[in-house]
Amino acid sequence: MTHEPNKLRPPEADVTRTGAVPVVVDRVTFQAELDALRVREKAHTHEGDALAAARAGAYRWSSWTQLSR
Amino acid sequence: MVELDPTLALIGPHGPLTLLEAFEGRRLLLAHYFMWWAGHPAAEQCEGCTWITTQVAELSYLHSRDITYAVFCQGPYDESIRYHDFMGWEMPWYSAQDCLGDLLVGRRVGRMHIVCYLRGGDRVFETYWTTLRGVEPMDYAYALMDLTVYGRQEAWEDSPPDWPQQCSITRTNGGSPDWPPVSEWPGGRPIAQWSRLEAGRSDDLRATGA
Repeated sequence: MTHEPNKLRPPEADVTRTGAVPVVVDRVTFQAELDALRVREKAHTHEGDALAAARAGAYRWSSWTQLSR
Repeated sequence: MVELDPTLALIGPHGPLTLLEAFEGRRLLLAHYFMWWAGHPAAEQCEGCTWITTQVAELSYLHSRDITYAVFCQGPYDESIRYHDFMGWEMPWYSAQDCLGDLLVGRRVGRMHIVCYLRGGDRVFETYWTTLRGVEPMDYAYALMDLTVYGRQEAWEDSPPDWPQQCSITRTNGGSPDWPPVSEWPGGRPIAQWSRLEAGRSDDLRATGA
């Protein structure tokens, strides 16, 4: 597939020297950084679940009870 | 980020290609590692990967940010590309089967992953990866369900008694309008297959089309 290069793209000669990219590290260091991020990502996912439950569950528990009477 | 061997070999429509070539000249590549049950019929293929892949329909937004989207299927090219065609998907589809050990080093090969790559000239770097519910950014169906009163209607949700929670998984025993729930894997089919069958598409993944 042909692709028109993005005009805003920085020079690519040595991407690690442009400063516009993350630091190159070894796999162990990279994974340690991701592991730390993962803790926050999981908390984020669970907060999304809790929000959905609050939206579709807990709040409407009371509404539902009233409707049922 | 971590540097990778840009010559790792995938299989595509024209035979072998390198990881570098999968960028299609763009600076960024996002690969979805599709789970695959080799030799199994379409009905038994991964309902979760099918669920999310079917929703990735418009790639121009990603392209406008210099991001190539591609599926790296974890099974053989020939049978899996027939699945891609059966489903009517249009995204680039490659088999990464032969170099999964290198591409997914340290991770559970066979499981769904999103991996993000960066290209600098001819060098390739991995900048991020995620798995399990981390692939939910590909999905809008769950996100929208979460806005409705009954949510995802799945058994694990914290819902009042008698609310619809019949949907335990992303496959069913039939299509519209009843979508009968499946009791046991691999019963039924991934949900999005039903409309393809109704449209008369063949779900045969074998070479002979017997």
